[in-house]
Amino acid sequence: MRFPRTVTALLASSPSWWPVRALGLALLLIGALGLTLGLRGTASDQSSAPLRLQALAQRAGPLVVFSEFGPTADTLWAANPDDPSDRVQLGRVDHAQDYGILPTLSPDGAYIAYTVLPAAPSSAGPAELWLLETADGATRRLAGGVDLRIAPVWSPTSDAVVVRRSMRQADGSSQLQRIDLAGRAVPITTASSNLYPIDISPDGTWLYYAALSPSGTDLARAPALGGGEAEVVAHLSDGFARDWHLSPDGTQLAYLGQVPVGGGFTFVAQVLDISMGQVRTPLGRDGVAQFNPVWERGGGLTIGRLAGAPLRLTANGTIRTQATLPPPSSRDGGTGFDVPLAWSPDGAHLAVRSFERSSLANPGPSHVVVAGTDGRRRELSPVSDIVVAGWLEATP
Amino acid sequence: MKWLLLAIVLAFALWATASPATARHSLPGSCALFPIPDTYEGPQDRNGYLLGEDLAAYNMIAANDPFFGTPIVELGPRSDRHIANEPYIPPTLLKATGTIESNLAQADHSVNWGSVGPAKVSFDCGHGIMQITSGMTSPADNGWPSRQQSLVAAHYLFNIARGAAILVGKWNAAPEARPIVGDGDPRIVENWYYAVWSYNGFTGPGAFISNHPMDPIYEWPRTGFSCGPLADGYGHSYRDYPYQELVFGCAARPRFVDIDGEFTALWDPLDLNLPDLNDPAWSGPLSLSNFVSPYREMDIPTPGCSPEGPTPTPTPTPTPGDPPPTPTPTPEEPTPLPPCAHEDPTLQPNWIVPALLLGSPELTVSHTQVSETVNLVTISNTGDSVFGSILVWRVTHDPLWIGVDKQAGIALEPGVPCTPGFPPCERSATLRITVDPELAPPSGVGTVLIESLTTGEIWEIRVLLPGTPDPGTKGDVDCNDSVDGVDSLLVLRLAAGLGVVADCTNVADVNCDEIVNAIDALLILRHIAGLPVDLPANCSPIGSPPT
Repeated sequence: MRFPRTVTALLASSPSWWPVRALGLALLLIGALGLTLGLRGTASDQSSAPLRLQALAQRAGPLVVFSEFGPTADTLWAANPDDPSDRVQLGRVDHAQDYGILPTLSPDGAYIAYTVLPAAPSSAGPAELWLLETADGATRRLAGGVDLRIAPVWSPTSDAVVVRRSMRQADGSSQLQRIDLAGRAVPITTASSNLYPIDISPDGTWLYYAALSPSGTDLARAPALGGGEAEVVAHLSDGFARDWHLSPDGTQLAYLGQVPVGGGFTFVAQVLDISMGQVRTPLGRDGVAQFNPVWERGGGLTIGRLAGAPLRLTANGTIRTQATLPPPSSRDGGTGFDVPLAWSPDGAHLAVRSFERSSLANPGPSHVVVAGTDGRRRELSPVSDIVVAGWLEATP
Repeated sequence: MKWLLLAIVLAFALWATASPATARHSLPGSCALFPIPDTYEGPQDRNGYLLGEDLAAYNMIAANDPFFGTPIVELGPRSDRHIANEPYIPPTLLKATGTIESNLAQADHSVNWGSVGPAKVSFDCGHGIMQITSGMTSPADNGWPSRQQSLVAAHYLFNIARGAAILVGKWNAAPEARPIVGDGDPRIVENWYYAVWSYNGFTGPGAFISNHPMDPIYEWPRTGFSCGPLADGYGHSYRDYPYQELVFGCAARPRFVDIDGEFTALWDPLDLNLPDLNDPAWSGPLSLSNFVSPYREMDIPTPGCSPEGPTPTPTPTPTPGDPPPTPTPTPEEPTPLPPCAHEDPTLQPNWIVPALLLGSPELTVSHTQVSETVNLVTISNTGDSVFGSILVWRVTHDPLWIGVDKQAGIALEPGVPCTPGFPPCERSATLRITVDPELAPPSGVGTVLIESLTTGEIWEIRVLLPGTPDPGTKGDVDCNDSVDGVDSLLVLRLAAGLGVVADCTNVADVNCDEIVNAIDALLILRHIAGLPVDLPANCSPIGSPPT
């Protein structure tokens, strides 16, 4: 974990009396101005958070970072995956009644970018993009008029995010924009079809995104810094494709694709080799619904299935028989099922959404659980509305 | 340093004092009414609102009103669409819709339960409980809010009634512009899936806010939505669901409220099925290629029922240029519902309920004439209903030189529960009337009309420029602020040359023919009897200031 320099400076310095007064006054002034201008980013009770976060990360290893929904404010936490009650509050974000935030953690762990529908809508548009520093909970607004339901996509160097802006009551077109940490926006691509940012290639060159139209779902890419032509990479599905994930080395895309069955479609996990344009179906069409294929850092793939625990595949595509995941436990007599969300960087834990029933039409209640390769499962919160923002790694 | 601290304190003071006032009367964007009118927010148990939803479901609020009446639904599959016998919406669906739209609140969140304050208006001009947006974005009556707009904003029953009418409009858009669910039987709650979707916008991928259940912005699979307690294992963030799933989930898992220290569900849960998005019977019609107007390929079986159950009839091949089939009334024999479907068990309210909720408001205003530059008048509801009533009023006036600080508002009878608190629950409204002498006509006389929108009563206030002599009221010969039979008799005495003890004989010539005679007396009697009074074009009506 890399703490921003402000934290280390605070920890190291021992200010004399006058600088403290000056700092206090400056903070008061900033607070007054902020409140007056309506910029009320919240980071409650953060005074001891940096120390506790550092201690927790060193004690527990990678921390699972998530938002916990509240009717008027969400809380951002970093928790020990082996004991989620052992956690540190990173911040608390006010939002419009009943509209939770959508956060993502930056690759370097220093920031959480999130879309939020503010309690008092601005004239620029309903949703806004904000940034929270994980070390001290400081927040700042980066942009307005972004799509609430599209999670920000981080650049590999954590210096910018990509968001979607839709043209309200216009021609239905949408635009993907790169917004740097100073709030400067650069258009990357615009289209009349709906665009879904997926990820930026590890070298920072390309932004991969999905484009939906009546003819199906295409994978496309455009220069991640903007100013270049977009190009279609592959046609993923004649219907909906979803839950796209770029492999850690940037050479493959895993996703759920609709394949024809009877008179309609059903979802199966598929993997596209981006350079070759070849698609494979790792589990075949085995008649069991498949969910959200997620990558492990070493190139393995984990696929959720309606029956039991997710299946782990090695980088060469064979099913792992070692270090399998514990099966979901059911509360109502069914078997339940898990949908994978994100692997921890050390491969020891997988965050999953665990459903209580085994029916896709009515999967029942669900909770976010951390399943360990040690066979244990731990619920992150009694609240179902949890968004896993990522995993926070401690730096050596 | 002191000045800096003072500046900070002043900044705080400005912020603290400015915010509430701004919240109270600022208007998000440009909507139908400015400023936002006051409305009544019922008690927290929402009993009045829930009853109102039941009434609207059965068209019992304003049955014969083309704007507020609940239309009769069309029913049947695509090939056999016809008109039902009675208007009907599953009442629980309306309650859930109101909860999703506004948390079942007619007023702004700053208003206490059981009190009076600004109506709830969203940034896109959604008004009140049902967040009515259609027709509420700009004034509809020559730059002034119309009767309908004022009622939607200020009275919860009319707001709910309008919401119900809009929802039926969405249902009846099928089959021409919307797909059909199951056999099109409105008693099956799941069959309202597309109508509810349309209430918020029949949008899909490519729209600003997509309500398509298969749009990748929504997780799949997903736990159902809940309006219930936060830790019930279901979802509670609106961000995570298309609109129709919010409403269906809320119907199944209703909101709980604290009533006398006990948490109580607002209605009996109604468990509803949603389309199985991995079953070709539903995922097929909902595919991307089918999401094209007029959505003919999107008919689906009733969610929860076997695709072989109540299925839609195949779409007949349309002939270009053919008009849409004309629905014809058909006597309905209730047919048993399939066991997979859900019917709303809510019973129709008794016919006396709407009269009790609407009551008998009566408009009373503190003044009939004002003559200052700035005038305050009080608008009250002096009705005497069993459970009280809400009177909605609207103001019209000469816009050139007379100003008012409100366009519409409400007044409460004493029987309406009014909770003490801050800001206080004001049963009567105060209207501020101002005049601009520089724009006033030479006569210095004008009028402000206050109209009771719930009864049609009109109260006229004469506005005199300061210093203007009172011109009197046409026909009010004895100057007692009323035109009555005594005035008619006085006119006859004047015409006969008999002695008259009255100060306002200048208003006896009511037909403006410059003669006071028996015809004037007769016209006054016709006015009193409510009969038509035929006057020359430039002659002002009896009861108004003379021309």
